[in-house]
Amino acid sequence: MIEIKAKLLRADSAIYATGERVECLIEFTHKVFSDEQTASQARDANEARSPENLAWASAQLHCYRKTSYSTSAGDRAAELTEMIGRTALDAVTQAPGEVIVATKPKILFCDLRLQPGETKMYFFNEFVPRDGPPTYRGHNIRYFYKITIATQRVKSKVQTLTVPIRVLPIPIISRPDELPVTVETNEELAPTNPFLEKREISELEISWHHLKNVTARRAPKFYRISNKRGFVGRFCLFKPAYKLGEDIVGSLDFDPGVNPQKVRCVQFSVKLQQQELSIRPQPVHSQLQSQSPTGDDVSSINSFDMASIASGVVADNLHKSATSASSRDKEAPEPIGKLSTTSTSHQVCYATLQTQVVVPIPLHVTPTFRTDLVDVRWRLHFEFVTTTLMDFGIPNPEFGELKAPAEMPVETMVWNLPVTVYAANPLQIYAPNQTFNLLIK
Amino acid sequence: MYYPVGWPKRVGLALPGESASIRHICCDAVKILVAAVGDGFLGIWYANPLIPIAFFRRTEDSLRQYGANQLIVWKPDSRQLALLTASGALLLYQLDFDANGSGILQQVDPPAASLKRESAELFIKENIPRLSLRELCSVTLGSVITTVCCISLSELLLATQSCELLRLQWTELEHAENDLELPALSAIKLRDIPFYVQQQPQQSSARNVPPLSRDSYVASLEYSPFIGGCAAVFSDRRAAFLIANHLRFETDHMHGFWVPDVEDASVCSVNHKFRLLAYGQESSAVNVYAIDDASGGLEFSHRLMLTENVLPGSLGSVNELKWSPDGCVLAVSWKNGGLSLWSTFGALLMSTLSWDFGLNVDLVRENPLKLRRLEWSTEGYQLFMLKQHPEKDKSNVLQLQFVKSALSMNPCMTTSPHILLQGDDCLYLNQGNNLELTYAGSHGTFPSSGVGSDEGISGDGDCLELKQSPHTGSILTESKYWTVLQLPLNYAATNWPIRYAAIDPDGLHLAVAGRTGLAHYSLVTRRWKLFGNESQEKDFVVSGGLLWWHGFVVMGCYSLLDRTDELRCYPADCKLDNQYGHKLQVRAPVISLNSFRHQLIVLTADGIVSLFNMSKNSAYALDIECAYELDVKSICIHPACIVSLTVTNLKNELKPQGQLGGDQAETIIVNVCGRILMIQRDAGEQVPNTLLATCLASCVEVFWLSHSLERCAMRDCLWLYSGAHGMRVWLPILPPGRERREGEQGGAQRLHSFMSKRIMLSFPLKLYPLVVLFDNVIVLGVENESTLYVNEQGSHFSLPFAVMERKSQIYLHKVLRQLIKRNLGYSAWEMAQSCCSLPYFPHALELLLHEVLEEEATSKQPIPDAQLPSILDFIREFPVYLETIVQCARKTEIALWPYLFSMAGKPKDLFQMCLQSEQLDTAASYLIILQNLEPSVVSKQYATMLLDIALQQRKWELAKDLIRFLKAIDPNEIDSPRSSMVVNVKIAPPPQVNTQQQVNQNADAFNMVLGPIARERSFSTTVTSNLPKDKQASATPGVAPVTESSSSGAPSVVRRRSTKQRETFCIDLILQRHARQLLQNHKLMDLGYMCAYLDFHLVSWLSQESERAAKLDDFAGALQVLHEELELPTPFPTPVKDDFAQLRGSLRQTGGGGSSQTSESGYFSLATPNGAATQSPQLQPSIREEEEELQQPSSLPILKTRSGSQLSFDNFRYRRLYSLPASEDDLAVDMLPQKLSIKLRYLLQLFIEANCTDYALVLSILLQDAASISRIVNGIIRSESVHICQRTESALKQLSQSTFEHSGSLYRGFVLTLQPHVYLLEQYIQSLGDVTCSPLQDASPGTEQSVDVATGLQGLQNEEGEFVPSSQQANGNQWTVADLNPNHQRLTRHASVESNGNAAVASGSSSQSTPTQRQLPSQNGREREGCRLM
Repeated sequence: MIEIKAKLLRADSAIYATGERVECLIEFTHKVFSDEQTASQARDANEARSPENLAWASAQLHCYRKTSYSTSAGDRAAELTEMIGRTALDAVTQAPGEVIVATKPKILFCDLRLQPGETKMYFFNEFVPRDGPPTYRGHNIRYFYKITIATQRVKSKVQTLTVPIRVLPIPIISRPDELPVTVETNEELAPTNPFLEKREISELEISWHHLKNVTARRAPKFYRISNKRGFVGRFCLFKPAYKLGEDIVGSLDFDPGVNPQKVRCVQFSVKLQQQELSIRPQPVHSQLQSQSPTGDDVSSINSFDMASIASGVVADNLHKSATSASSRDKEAPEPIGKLSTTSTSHQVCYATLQTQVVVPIPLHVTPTFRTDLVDVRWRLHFEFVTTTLMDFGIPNPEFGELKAPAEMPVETMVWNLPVTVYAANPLQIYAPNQTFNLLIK
Repeated sequence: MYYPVGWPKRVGLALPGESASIRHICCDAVKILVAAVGDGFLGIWYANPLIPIAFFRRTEDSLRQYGANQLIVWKPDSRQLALLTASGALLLYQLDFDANGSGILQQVDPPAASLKRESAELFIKENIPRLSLRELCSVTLGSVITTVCCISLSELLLATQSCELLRLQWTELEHAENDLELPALSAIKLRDIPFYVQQQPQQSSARNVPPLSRDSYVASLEYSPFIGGCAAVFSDRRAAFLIANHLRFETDHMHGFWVPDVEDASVCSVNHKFRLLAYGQESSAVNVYAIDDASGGLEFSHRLMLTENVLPGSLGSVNELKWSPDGCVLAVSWKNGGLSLWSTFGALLMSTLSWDFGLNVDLVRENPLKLRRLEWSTEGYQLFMLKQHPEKDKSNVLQLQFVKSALSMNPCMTTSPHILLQGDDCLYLNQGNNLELTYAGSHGTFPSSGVGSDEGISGDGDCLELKQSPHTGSILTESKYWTVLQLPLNYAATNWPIRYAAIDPDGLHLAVAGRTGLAHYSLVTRRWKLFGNESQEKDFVVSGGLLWWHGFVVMGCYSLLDRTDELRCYPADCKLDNQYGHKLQVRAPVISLNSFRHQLIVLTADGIVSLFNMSKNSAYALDIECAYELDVKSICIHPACIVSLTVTNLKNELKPQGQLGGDQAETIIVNVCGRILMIQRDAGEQVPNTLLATCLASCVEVFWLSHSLERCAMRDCLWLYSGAHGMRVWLPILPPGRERREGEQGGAQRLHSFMSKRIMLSFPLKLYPLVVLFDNVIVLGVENESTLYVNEQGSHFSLPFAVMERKSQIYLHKVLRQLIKRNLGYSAWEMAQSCCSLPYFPHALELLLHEVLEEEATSKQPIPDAQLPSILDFIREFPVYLETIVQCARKTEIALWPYLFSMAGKPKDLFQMCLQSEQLDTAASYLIILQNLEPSVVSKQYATMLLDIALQQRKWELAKDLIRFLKAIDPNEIDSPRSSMVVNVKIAPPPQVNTQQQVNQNADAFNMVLGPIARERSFSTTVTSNLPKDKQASATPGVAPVTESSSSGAPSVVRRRSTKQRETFCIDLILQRHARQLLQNHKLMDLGYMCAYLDFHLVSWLSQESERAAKLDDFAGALQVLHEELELPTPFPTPVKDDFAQLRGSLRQTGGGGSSQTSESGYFSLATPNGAATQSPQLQPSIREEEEELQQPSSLPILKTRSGSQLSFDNFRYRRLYSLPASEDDLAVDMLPQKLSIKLRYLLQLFIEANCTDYALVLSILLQDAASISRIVNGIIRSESVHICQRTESALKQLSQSTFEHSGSLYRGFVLTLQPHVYLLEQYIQSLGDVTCSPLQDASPGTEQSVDVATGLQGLQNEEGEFVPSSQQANGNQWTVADLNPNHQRLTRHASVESNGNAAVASGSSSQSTPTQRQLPSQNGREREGCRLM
């Protein structure tokens, strides 16, 4: 019996950024179970004693896609499958879904002979393709990565062991002129001597620097939130782009500064939502979306666009544009796609004058990305519950008791604000992985 | 363990629509309601969500009569409130529950659908009770009431200005009509009770006359039932502790203790759980006292004092102290602003004074956080803060949100290696130890993943078989992200807030218990599990603790349905439902629980500790059986004072190795009010006895146990954290050579029975430890940090935003130091050995050394027992010794170096040791030290030595730095004396002296001391002229002896002043020598690296060397060596030497054939360079000239065309031959890796530039670059050096020969393409032969002038094969370049002119000269002597 064990080197986080190198230790052991051995010693002592042979083993990294979108590019997939079918290892059959990215298979060995109890260890490393999609589990589409380790005994079937990994997208840098920013000195000017090896700055490193720049805190943007009754509050978002694991921090100031206040925010909730937009809209799907009652929240994109344009100045009438019935009925100019809420910050702010919104971005979500089929975006979804009941409805007494009324009429206003979510350093994410093993009898 | 998060919220608690400042906030006993008083009103709020329930505004009359509101006190049943006014009256308010209303301020959605609420969380599930508030009565006493405190449900304690304490029933108040007569009985006249001053607890305290002045009274008062008395602060700023013998407070039975040393108390606060009294002082310090159980008096525990970031005295007096509800944290605020949090025993958790408020806030002048009152809200998740001076129209109430460690509520979580923090509705989790595994340097390429060396597996794309288990190193990764888990809405909505949180040791499951019920979460599936049946969830309240045991969540709880106390277990894998749960009834409420292996220890409120055995029946069922019960009432005042407890098999004595497996826990460890008691089981008894309890330590907040650890040497330890007193570890001490002695068992035990088996070590920690990772010798904690988001003045958000950061601290060095100090070096060594593989181990050693060094070297007093030597000896045990010393030295002040090196050994010796152990980088670090401690001569000498070795070991970067170092040494400094380490090793010079010496080395100082000398004048003259330094130095040679004589007696080397040029010359010499070595060994790559890194001008050097080291004798051999060096497959499959021998043999045999002729000449040409190499300098200029002429276009048009045709012919031949083995070539080119071939090409270019044709040829062959060969050959021909031509030709032939002899040779195909060159050369040489041989023959043999040419040509003539090579030695001397060159030039032209037939002519008639040859001299007009001979 041969046991194959695969263990990713990065034990604390089985997460890799695109362009990073996956390193995996693969162990082949000829296992001899002592109890089994004693039991079957009489029967096949020879078999247990004899060395095991493996004809070959290979390892390869695949990215699979599983989607309910009709992929018009079926021919491409077919072409790929055909191509893969030509190798001895048919990766398509290893997991559901179609292979969209595959690395070159690497042969670990040919003709391995293992004595009973012997163990051989191999080191497999492979770059995660730079242009592949991230690991994503959405409503209608899934992308996932697996390392496939295949081996075969002579005259038997190919056996495979798959090790799933999570891949985070590191955006490919769009402006190469930012490149020199990351170089410490201007050694570029020195004549090139092939013996002077400059520390190679990988593309990944540059992208990471770039990402850090993008997610750094810049000038805050203020949004004045008002409804038709008056000023509700002022929201300030300190940056528009975040990394996984960061907190989206915003400040909310309900203090109008002017008296009398017309409207009071009683409570609010801020949700971090993921939007999954199909790039080639399927008529069937869009129908379904508009019918689905939950998560389909039509708010005009225009409203938040306007808000972001009017940052720092009055962006009035948000309330109207965002939640008026007319906007709900009319055809949305842009599809909302499938929404999923990942974290919520809810506060009852009846008595609050100044507070904060802290929405954590979980580490397990997929950052903003786009492929040829799907566009995944993030947004903050605000709901402000306001009331015009500034006091208890009755004038404050000169003396004596004042009781809170039983009821308070409220109105709700909705607002969406897009944010961008980027990948975090995979090493900073704790996601322990176990050893994957496979027994070949 | 409390950490603030975010900005404080600003809330308005005034009457609706108004804004007024709030005077006092008080939460009721269960922290559900909040009472807030303004000047003239009282508001009752619901705590969460913060929603107003009722207000009461006092009448104008009342305000006028009694003054504004001051203080509010809740009755414990939350039905009544007592309000103290400014003029000392008490107002009583009644709060009635209004049953008929459903709730208040319920939000009603408008009819319009678009304006309705959608999200579930917006529908508040919390049922806010409808309450009505009315004033019952107002009470005034004969005297002004100064303060109020609630004693119990029935009673209230008032302090009056007449210095009396008054005990009142709440009901008494209620029935009192407006004015209450002071009931004489219950009044305690404080002036009449005895006060004690406790100086020495042993001594029976002398009775003191109450020194209370006439008009002093109790200003601040707090009562605690566990203490059995009150903490009080008098108006004259004296602090006291009032205690009654009976629970009935009566004057006769009461006595007080003056708090010693506190003469300026301002406020007081009592911690019930730990029985501590805290007194805030005007001096901004807080003194904390514990109750001394023996005398009943006070015992000083610790003092809280901000020292960092604070100017002394700038804080003002302490104006508020508040212990958090769980007693884990004390909040302190100061009059001049600032808030800080301290742990129970005085570790600073947070201080706003260290926050970053931005540039435009001066905390000393105006602190934005000037607080008056503090009040903890529910579970301590929020802190209400009242600002002192409210801005106009702004609320003065701030609410700061906190996150606390799960340890604070659930001390059994100390076993978890994860940091778990709980907020009111979310959990913060930080998992994973700090180490990230790396593999042999080839770590994943993520940028911020730390420093990964580039070596290791570099062949990307390779799958390697690993011979042994991989070497996985590890790197430290700091600050992993927090995983924030939000409580599911449907649990949080009704069960807010989180009370208990627990995580299993694997970090896969989390459990959370709120107000009722429980929920758990799997980190694998990322799903919460809630009770399916909500009524089951509402039916029980978790109390006492929550823990994970083998996939079950175990808790103590109170069932609201059955009204019983229970232990419950729910399996994690099942649905959360009572039908899968396991219940066990216990007699009293569970206060604390913990587990060890399969044992569960439970403390119940009746003071009984029960031990249960748990066993797992199946995945979903378990059995719990009670093993024994133990009454612990005798060891604690009240079971609630037991902070935590556990059961373990840790014992006072170390168990013999064999019995270690006993998994029955034998010892109970209890933390009672900070005292750690160990209750051991008596031998032979089943049940531990509380009488055997031993107190191990006091002031302990948290303790950890390291059992169940195999790897680490720190197993079986007890870890204690005691706030300001730091960390303590109770270590078992293993006798040295334990293993050895175990063989002879009996004797050893008897011998050492008196030795202590364990030792308690304490050391300070900078961080509040939440997790101790025993294996990694690191503690993890969280620190409060702050960031500034807005810089806008006046904005609320310009306050810093508080964030949490995970921090870690290594403690290894501290433990080691303590052990070494106690002469337990063996234990220390064992411990260190087990941690050797940790990446920060060298760092820990360095810290160890550094700490001791700093302490001992800077101590003013003489050190009686210096620790440094033993520490150094200890470090010497480890391979990183040398490195540690130098790293430590470089991080300390130079002033401390003498002390360090007086113990560690002379830096020179250490340097030598580094060299011996080949730690070159470490050695380089020592150079810096040498430079500072030794004369420059020495450091220079050592640097040179190191440079040599670095070059040999190809440490180019190091060599580069060394050269820089050497060049930076000021030649003047060479003589300047340094305080050498030779100076008295034992009595290290005090550092001050040393620095003075350094100062004195300045020449000016000498002048000042020694008076103006010759140098002075030279200085004054050179000030303006700005002469180079060495000139100055040479101008005043007389100074040198003076400086020397003034040196501090240190032996210094007298040396002649050397100039900068000399220095560089010296370096150049070394470099050249090394380069020559490299070249001679054909280490071209190294040569390339060397000149690249060291800025070595290869071309100019090579051109010097072209006739010496750069000359090749054995081309095939060189090629072979190069192949070996570049790790390419060998060019000639069989060893080359044999071939060469064969070649020689075969050459001898073959006669007459054209090709064999040339190869024979090749054989002879071997000998030539040897001779030439010895005297190359003279040859060197000749090459230069040749170069020049190469650049000159040939002056003869005829020849030009001729040569042109020749060239084209060449090319033609090329193509033909080239095309044939094209495919072979392609394969061969693949053989060279891209990078390598670029490097080779670069070298080739250099060699060509330097005119080193030999190497150029070899390289082009290696590169299989036919074009470059043709270039070289043409160059050679143009150079007209017959000698070189011949060498080249023979080399090519030799190569082709050896290639063809080895069938598998790589270059076979390529060499074929070279045949035209060989042919061309042959032709040319023959043509030369025609010319030059004739003079040779004509001339007398003794004519030395012609020797060179003759030697060069003799290969042509077979018959002259035995030409004596020794005669060549003379050649260069006589032949000057100018002489030689025209001849050559001419010959070149001949070569192209003469056709093949020439050779035959030449061989035939030696004396004959061609017509062209005669012609040429006249054309040139410059006839050579030698040529004229013909």
